[in-house]
Amino acid sequence: MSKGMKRRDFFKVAATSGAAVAVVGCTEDPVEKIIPMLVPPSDYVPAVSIHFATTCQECAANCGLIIRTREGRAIKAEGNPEHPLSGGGICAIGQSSLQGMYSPSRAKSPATQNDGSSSLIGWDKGLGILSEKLEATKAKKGKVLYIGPARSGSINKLIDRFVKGLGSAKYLRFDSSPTNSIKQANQITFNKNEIPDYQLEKAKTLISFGADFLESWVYPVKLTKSYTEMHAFKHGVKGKYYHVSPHMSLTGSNADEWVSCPSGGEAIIALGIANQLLGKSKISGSEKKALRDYLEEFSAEQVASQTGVRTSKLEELAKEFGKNGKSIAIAGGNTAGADATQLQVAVNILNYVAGNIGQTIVFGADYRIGGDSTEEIVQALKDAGKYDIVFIENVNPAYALPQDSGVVEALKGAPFVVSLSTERDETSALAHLHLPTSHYFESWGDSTPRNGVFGLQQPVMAKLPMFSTKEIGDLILLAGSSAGLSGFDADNYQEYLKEQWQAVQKKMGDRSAFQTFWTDSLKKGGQYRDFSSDKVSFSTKALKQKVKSSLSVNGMTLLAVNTTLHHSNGAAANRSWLMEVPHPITQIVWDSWVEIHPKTAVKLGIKHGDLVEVKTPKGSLELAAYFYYGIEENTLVVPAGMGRSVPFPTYKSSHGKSIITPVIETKSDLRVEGFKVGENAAGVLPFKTDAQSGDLVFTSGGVSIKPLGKKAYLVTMDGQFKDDIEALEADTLGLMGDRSQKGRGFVQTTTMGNMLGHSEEKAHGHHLRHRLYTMDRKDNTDFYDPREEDVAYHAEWAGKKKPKYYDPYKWEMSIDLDRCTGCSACVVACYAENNIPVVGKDRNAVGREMSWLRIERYIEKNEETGTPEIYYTPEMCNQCGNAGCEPVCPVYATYHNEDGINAMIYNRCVGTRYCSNNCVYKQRKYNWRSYEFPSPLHLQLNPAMTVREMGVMEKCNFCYSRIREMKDIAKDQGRVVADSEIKTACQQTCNAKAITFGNIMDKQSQVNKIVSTTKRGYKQLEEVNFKPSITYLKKVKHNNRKA
Amino acid sequence: MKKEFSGVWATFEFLDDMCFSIKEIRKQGIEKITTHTPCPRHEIEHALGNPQSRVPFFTLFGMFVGIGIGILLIITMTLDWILPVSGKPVVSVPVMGPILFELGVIMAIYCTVLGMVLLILRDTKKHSFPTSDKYKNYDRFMNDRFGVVVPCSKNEVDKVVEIFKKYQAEEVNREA
Amino acid sequence: MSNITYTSINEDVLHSLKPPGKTWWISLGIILSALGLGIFAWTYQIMHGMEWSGINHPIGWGVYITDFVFWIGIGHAGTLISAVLFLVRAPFRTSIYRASEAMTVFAVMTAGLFPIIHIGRAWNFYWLLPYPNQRQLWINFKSPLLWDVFAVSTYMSVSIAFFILGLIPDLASVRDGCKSKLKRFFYSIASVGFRGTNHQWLHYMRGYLLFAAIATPLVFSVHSIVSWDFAMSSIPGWHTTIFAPYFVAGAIFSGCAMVLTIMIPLRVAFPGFKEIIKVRDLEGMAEMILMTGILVTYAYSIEFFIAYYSGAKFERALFWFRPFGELRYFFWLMVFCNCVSALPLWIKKIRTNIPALFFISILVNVGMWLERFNIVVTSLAHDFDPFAWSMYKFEWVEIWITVGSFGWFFMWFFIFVKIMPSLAVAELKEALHPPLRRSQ
Repeated sequence: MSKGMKRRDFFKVAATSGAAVAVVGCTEDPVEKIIPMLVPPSDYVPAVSIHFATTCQECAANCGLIIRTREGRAIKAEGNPEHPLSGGGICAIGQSSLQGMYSPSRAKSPATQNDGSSSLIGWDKGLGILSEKLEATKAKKGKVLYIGPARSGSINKLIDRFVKGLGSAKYLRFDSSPTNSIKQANQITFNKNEIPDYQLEKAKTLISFGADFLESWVYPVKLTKSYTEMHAFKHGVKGKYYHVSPHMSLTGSNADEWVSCPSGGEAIIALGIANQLLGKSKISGSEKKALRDYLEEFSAEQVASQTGVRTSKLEELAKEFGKNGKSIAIAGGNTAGADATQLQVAVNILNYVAGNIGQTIVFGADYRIGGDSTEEIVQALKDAGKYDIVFIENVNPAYALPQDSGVVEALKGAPFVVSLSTERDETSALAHLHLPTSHYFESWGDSTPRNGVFGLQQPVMAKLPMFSTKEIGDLILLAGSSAGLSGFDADNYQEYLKEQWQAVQKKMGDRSAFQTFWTDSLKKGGQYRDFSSDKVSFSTKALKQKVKSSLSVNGMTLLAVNTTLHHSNGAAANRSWLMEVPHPITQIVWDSWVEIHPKTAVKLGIKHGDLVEVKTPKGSLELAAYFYYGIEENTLVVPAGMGRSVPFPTYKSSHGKSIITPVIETKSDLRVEGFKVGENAAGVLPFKTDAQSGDLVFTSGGVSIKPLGKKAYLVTMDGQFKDDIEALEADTLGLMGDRSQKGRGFVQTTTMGNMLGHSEEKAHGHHLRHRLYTMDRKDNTDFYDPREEDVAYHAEWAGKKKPKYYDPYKWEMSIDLDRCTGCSACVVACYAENNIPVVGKDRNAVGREMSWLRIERYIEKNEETGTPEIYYTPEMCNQCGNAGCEPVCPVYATYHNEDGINAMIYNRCVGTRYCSNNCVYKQRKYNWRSYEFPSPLHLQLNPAMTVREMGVMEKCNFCYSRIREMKDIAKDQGRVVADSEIKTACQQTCNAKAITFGNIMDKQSQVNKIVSTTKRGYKQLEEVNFKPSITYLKKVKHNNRKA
Repeated sequence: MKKEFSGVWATFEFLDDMCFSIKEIRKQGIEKITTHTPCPRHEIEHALGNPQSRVPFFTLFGMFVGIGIGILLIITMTLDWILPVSGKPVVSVPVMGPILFELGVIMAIYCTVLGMVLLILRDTKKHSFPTSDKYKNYDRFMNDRFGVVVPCSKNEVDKVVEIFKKYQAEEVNREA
Repeated sequence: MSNITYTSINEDVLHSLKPPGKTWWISLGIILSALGLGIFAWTYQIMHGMEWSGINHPIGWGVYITDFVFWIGIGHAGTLISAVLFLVRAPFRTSIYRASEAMTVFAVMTAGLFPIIHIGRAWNFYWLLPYPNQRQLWINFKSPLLWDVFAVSTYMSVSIAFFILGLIPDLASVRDGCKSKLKRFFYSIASVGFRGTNHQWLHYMRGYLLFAAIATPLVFSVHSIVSWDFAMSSIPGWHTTIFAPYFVAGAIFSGCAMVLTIMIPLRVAFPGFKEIIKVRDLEGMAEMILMTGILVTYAYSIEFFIAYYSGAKFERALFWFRPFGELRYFFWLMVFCNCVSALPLWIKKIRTNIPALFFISILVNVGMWLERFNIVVTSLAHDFDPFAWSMYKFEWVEIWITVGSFGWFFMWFFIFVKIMPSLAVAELKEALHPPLRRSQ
């Protein structure tokens, strides 16, 4: 029967993709125009992947995407190398956009709803209802409110015209992340209301005042790239990065040092540093005087007394930061708190004093990140009752805004709410009419994330057969024309877009025929050029506002933070991949948690993993307590953007049941049901906005926490939180456990000193092979003859031509741990590429996770500072030369193939699991059952990969399907695969460029160069002599402070 | 059944009686004696002049066959489809050990059984047995009685019977 | 042995073959229902997947492999007693070897199931055999698991052959003893016309000797190979040279205990056996237990010493984990059962006290199961990569299947005692002083 399982899955894929090919031909879009793509095919060839360039709409940064399609189905999202913002990589959420496309909770077709009961109606009926509403409104010049997602591009103009045409109207773009404070502060300090270009790569020193620029802050993908440029060891240089914040986020954990400060103390510290730098800054005259007067109150001592940061530390920071223009300070993010603008102003002053403005912070780019002031939006929504029509398109304020903002009630009271969202979400449930728009993979559109970047968004596939949706553009055009407005006569949005792009062509100064320009844009995913930088001058009116310490005194402070996997707007919070991938620092899956400092917790009688009640002034959450030293003692941290209902198969679980009572799961037990994962942190925050910018405040003072006297069902994926901790290394405070790597050298570090040859590399407790073993070979290098020789010898003996080993390929990889930030985008990419099933919380709890690639996180305690040092290492199958898994398999289900890959033959596997036992890297995953891919997620399955049935082992194979595909192409062209033609999924998506993959036999290949030249290379667990083909590069630290 | 049987068969209650009578009969030049005993006794073997069994040769042969098969199996199968695993030589001698041993053992055992059966059948063919139902249905041989079967020509019968009587055989049956 | 005669032995044995009474039927009923649980659980596992067994990532082997090694170990005592003690002519062998040999056969039959139960795609188990197939796919002779396949199958067929061979003369005597036509017919087929002629005895005894001589190294080889399943791997706690002797000792240890666990009730069930299976014989077993128990204890301590002495951090961490980690309860229970509980056997009073022996034998069985569990699970739970460390949580299917395996084993044994002589008639007679007129 299990065979049946697999065949059915295969047919699902085959059939639907077949359908897709058919459907492509008969959409309303003109066919010859949907085809243009990066790799133009002579014709649709089955089993050949076709790539479309488009634009990511997950956040307003609008990175460029390349969507890989097979048989007319989008199967993988990748970064567009030509795009200036993404430059090839994308973030975890971008990777998960496919699950947004194939989301089981997508709205099937238009529906009318009144108080809870919803009834599906066709488009004709839906549009009918809409148009009569519109005419009525237009007739009486009514009021219209339109809330859309934060975005840039032509659609804005269209919508604006549409709503204005109907009467007195408001068109607001909603994005919960606090970005207006940046614009506002720049307005104040430099009379420039824009988000500038932060050029970290030019800086030698970076201080981030809580800005999680590797996770969610403004444009994280680009910033990750430029951060690694600045911070990764290259040619003997390596920038310094300090993170000043009450919370050591993933971003903070990458810092060379995390400076803990109370929430709200950042601004003072910034000014304190500015104060010390002012002396030797180039600023002169009245300005200098004004600054001196302003800054004098922020002497090191005062700052120290207010924030508890040692003066010596402040001096160190000042010293490091005074790099006349070669440093940069950034601030913001969810931790910014109630006076976000103030903080930004303070940081601007600091940057100005340090002379960074125009050097590392360049104006003129005008990034269109973030939406309109949340204050304004909430006000508008509050009096939704006054509007005749309220449009809400693909945003979820009902979820993302605190409960006491009163938005939900207001919307309930509104006369007529139209939801244009793709998914059925909390907000669209409140609408009277729901007209589902197509996902952006199915729609036309464009974007201008910054000056000089014109991203084009094209449909990468026909609309999903089982969902009847309309592109937002087409919908607005229809609505406009049906309301009898002028300028809505373009017969579809694509045409409209083309008109708009005539202008773009002029801007780009392109002389060619429009058609060629258009096709070229589609191929490149848009048109890109640099922006012209503006000079800005400091306006002393910034000094008018007094920065006082806003340290909340009563109770503790709660921060609701974004991570690489969780975003406060909650758009991605119902995607099973992001739930399944462990949060990089806590390694928690399928749940939200509260991070608390062990000392505080023990004072309050809380143990790690206890269920605790976090009480804010406006509500309370029941969460699992997670002990974490990377947090200020009076602060609690909860991930934002959780607590949405995730559609997932209802697998039975034995959790909490007695071990002898049978748990029997029949086919009929398996349904797809949405269930709530974690808690919505933003929901319980008291609704507050920054006075000057109207940014939503993600912090709350006056928070109390108390244990509820029972253990929480907390699932962490690191095997180290156990009570078997090796006593000597353990930190038993509140059963926190030992998260260190116990000297096993998975992550090895070196120092600048060693790299520059100043000091001696201290041995890592690892011996060399030849010192551990006696070698049989005469040249005393190894036990056995080299693989290729041995095989050749035996092949000849058997009178065979083949196999030929390592000729011409042997695939190897190198991973630079000095670059890896631990963001886990690669893990999501791996799930997407290799059809890895999502197993859910209960199964993760009992070690049934299936991920082929995991980010291992180790926390060592820094003896000197006492702060934790966090190391990340991506761990995947090492494709060992002397693999442990191979000899123990009784049926040859895994063996060493000609390309040096540790091949895994699913069909041959009988499932003894011996290979997994004998793998010292523990990289093999076993199918404990056949897992479901709830429809329509099964359409995302990569046809090039088998969907594994129950009872077989699986593991990373360096994306062998990609290798295969490229090798075939190369073969057809009668050549060998060139270097970097094949990128593994993880390598492709990595913004930090930590992963290099290639053919080690090719002396010119990048990986060969790295492996042969680096001084930092090492293999994990070398003494076991498995000969892994992944070379890790040591993390480089500035000093010898090392746990 | 073999040719018409002529001879004597007797049963004893005591082992030593039987042994003496056997010795005596053999002195008469009658060698083809068959005994029935509930369990093997060395006394009888001595009395019969310690015949030797050939079974061990079968065992040895079997052992060699097994090991031969083993080597052949492993080499041909590994070379049939060359799948290198874990850096080890494709045809690697040390790993053969356990399998060769096991195959050797099993073949040895099979051959031993075979040998036993063949040899027993051969010996039984050499000798002839009483055809009377009394002999066939006599059910105390495996219980507590010792039996002797002496095939002999008519003229020897009396002599044999004499001997049995002399050693107080429980019952003596002449069949001719 | 004055009161025992050839006849009395026959009678006792034949008595044990009388039609079964109520107690027998009831206990068989219990046994079969236990077996039923097992069969149900396994069926569900085959249909659904391995989910409801505690094995996980990285602990790829758990209760099933533990059971496998446990049952193989049980088996060994039988062969040991029948073969090794035969060669060394141990006096206390004859009375118990038939039953313990039966035990061997059934234990191996049980053990043989577990490799099939524990593989993920049980319906493909035959892929482990070198059978010719259309793709010319052969098997990997480098895999210890494959050695296992060969070892266990060899062991199974040899012990069965040995068992049947030993039975033939006794079946013959049963044949002659029984009245009803039908029975007589059945047994005369089973005893292939054996009438105890000197030719038959001659080759039979020689063959039997050879069997014993071959079976002896086989016993040791089989459990060594089973131990190599672990020792051939790279996992700390498995990758040890001491494993082969250590496992063999353990096997004999548990086997002898099982023999007692079975013999003592047998003596109670069939009063006739009391004077045949003498306390002296049980005491012999007890001595074996005492010795092997000490060997096992030695092995444990050496493991710890080597872990310390090698200085390998992985080994050290593991051997810290076993006694102090979260699976420590299993470890300390094992230490009590295997190292401590056998020690009272030094005292003759206890050694000859039947209830005490029975109790200790049970403890030892439990202890040896736990030993295998410790070796299999703790090593995997705590190996090289601290990030992948894990914890074992029992699930219902594996428990039910384990229960079922006991049902399976005892079902065969119950049937055996009723249809076959559970004492070696011929050999007992051989051991007796033969009836002589002139007692010299």
